[in-house]
Amino acid sequence: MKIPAPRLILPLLLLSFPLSAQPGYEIAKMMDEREQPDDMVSDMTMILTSRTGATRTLTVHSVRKGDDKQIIWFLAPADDRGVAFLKIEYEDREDEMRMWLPSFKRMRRIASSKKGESFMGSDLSYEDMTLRALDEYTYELLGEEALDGDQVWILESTPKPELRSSYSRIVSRVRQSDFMPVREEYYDRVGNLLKVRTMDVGVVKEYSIPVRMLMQNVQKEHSTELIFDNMELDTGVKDDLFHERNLRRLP
Amino acid sequence: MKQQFIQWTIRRPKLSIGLAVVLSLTLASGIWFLHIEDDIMKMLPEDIPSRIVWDEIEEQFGSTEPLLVSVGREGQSIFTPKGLATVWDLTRTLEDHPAVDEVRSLATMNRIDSDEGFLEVSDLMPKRDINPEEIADLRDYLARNTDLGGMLVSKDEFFAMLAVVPTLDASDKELVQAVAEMTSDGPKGGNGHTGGLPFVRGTLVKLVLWEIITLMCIAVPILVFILLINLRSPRGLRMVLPVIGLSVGTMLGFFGWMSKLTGSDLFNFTLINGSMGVILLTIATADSVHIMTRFFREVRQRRDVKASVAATMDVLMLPVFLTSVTTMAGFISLVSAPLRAMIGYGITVSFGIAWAWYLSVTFLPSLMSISKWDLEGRALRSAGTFERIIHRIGQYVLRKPRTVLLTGGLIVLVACIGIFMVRVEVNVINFFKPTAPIRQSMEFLDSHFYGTLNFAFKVEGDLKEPDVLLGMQQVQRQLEREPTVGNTASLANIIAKLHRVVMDDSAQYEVIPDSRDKVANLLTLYSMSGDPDDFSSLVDYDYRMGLVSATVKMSATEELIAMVDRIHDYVDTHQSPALSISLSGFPVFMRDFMNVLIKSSLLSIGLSLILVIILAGIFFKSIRWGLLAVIPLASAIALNFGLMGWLGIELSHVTALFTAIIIGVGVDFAVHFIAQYRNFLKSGTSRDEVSQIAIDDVGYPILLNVAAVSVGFTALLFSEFIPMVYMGGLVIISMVSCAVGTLTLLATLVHLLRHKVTA
Repeated sequence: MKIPAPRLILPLLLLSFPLSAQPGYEIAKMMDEREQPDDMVSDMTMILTSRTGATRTLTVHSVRKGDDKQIIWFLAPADDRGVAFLKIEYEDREDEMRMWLPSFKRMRRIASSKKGESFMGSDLSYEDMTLRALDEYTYELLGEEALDGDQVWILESTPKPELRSSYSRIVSRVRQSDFMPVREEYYDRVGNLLKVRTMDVGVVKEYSIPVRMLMQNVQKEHSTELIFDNMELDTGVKDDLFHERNLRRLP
Repeated sequence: MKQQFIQWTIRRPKLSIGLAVVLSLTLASGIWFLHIEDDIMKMLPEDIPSRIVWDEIEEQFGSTEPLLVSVGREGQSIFTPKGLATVWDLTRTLEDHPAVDEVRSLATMNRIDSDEGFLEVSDLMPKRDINPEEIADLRDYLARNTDLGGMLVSKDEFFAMLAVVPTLDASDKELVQAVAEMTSDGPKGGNGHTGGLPFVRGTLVKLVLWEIITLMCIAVPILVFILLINLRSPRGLRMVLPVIGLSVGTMLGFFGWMSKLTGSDLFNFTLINGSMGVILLTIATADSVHIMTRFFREVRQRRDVKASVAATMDVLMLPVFLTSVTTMAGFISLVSAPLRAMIGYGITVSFGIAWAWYLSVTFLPSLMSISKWDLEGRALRSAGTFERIIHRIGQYVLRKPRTVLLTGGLIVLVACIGIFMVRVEVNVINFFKPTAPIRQSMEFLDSHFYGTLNFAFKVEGDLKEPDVLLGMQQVQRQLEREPTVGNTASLANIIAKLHRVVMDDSAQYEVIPDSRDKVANLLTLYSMSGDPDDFSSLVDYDYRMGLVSATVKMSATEELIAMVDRIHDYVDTHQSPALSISLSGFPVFMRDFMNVLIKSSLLSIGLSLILVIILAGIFFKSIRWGLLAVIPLASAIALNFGLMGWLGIELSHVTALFTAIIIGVGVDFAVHFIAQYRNFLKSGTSRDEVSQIAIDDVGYPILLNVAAVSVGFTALLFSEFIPMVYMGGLVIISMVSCAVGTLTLLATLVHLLRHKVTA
């Protein structure tokens, strides 16, 4: 039986905290090293709710490989059905983003120079969608508490100046059982609370995976809920799926 | 009963004075609870259609009226690293302020580029410090995209504009103050200017209230001086002044107590309430001057103070009561006014009038009865210059009553022609003289950028449908034909721009695509790259409600209203089941508000006239007296509006309202005249002599009252705030015309009818 790494390391880590000079960093490291699926296929429903309570719902079929490749086909609403989006991230050059517009029968490349920019018009930015690189932040353990029946660490992550993050700090409630950040508070550059992300975590193929995510922009009183269905992990997605020719037809 | 009351004030003067002072001071202590409301929008009616649309638009899209700040220096291009860094810094500082929702400037707006199939939505200024090459590129982009360029940079490129959008619950005053602090250290960015509706709203209240206080500080001493030289009795003046001071203080205290005890916004001290003190000042002055001058006359005959006080109050108790009741009735009628603030105003001024009456019939006679008068003093020994003048006027008027009546009637008739020439002005910025800094700042922004006012159109329909978007564009084209419209913006502009970008930046595609699916694809494309908030100020979530906005330069109200009417007609003929358009924005709101207010003011004037007829008819037990009482008032109204027309004084909501109010004050003269006329008639004076005696009797206090108030109020003519100038002018014209009307038209008419009227 495969036992997730966090469960093995946790007792050791807890023992080591009194001795460690940087308990916050240790937790962040464990979060970073948390076992991730190689790929993930899912149907994702995104519900955007405005300040006035109006909602907009869209459904996409998403295939993700690693942290750097993603392809999305829009299923609903009917207006957007057939629109498809491909994103490949590179470390050494600008990310590649392409979009298929079926009504124009045209492929368009998109460049977004701002990682703080919204992802698909939601409250999530590309920065929020990307795993945080361990060494780009400094960490401080602020304490621990019980949250929804789970014991959590309160971890503060502060981006290093060279990162040019949209946030001044992020305070996470990290579940001690699996190192999943179940609640995160994002503070803007001035230090005011900007967004709050909460996650429902499920276990799929023994991975702890978010199955529902709610991001609330408290300043704009706007929220985005993501619900993941038909989730399949480690299906052996090939690299050549992430090619613009595959955008033109719905899978 | 009346005699008992009068005797009580004379026999128990200390109790009467003490009671009046204690009660007045107790009530006046409410001044500490005055709640000043500096948001002028809160005093405007909420149920007129354009206000409803406006509120809906603000609820959905946020504030449509940004505060405008320009930075730069005359003669120096803003396109320098230093100039742009200033824009960047100020933008960031403003963004951090809690009252600011967003700032639209070179430092925050996006650009959409297309290059070899690449769509890029990026910042106009990606960072604070940009190099000359990047500056040249920015300048080039703005030159190619004039809609954006004209909004952000002045035509001469010397100034950059920052549009500061306040949060919906932000106070304009707080915002203006914050911006003033941020821009106060001068030429960091050079000689900038501030404008826009929040700026006017945030500045106006403080400016006007301060102006009222300053001008009253000049007007009151002048009034006191005029009273002093005419009453010729410092002691008498020292008794009149506490009546005025306690009345005004008690009224303001009552307002504060009502605010404290009811918690109602009806008793918030708004801009309008600034005139309450002025109104009561004239009313309280009138009552006490009448009593004091009558007392002097009685002393001259009786040489006994207490007997003179009793005789004075015996004669004046009824007219002073009647003038108070008629004026109160006029103010109480304001409870039906469309402005909530006017309801509290009407109740409070009515209370103030009642208190001025109470002080005039208790405190003042008690004070007069215990005071040690020098019976040999000039005032108590002989008639003054005004009294001699009024006697001669009376003689002249009554010698040729028909000629006087005819001449007066003719003057009123000529004035009536002027009524048709009255122009209307409610644009608040035009209330300021051209030399006023606030106006200069707004005019600067108007001349260098697209404009400082906003039109907002609520568009409802399926906003992904090309026909609906084309309809929006047509409205925009229609708007752009208007000379005062700077530029227009809507979702249709963005769709056309995206269409062009997707079609390889070909200019021929900068149009609305031909299918709904294409529009939807473009919106999705943008959402993958831009910020969702980029659209939130133009369209709602369901793409069912959109906003077309237009920037408008300031102009005279009549021009703005004519434009609103033209646009309204256009929109009315272009409505369809698929596309519904509702107009709003400050110019539209201004038109609707003006109509409501002017109608209600005219209604209030009409109502005042009817009330005067009824009340005077009841008290004088004859409808004929009621009708006669209204003659000076009606002719004063005609003269007021007629002169406004002839002299080119604009009718604004301030002047219309103030005319309605001040007219109520003017009726007092006629009531005093009729009351004394009847008194003399009752006491057996011959019908041929009674008119002259009545003129002699009431003419002097009327003339003194008019002189003191009118000369005092000339101070208002020097105000920077034009309605204040008009307010001063109107007080003077109203007082003079009511006085002249009473002493000529009413006096001659009564004289001609002397054998038909009853005592």
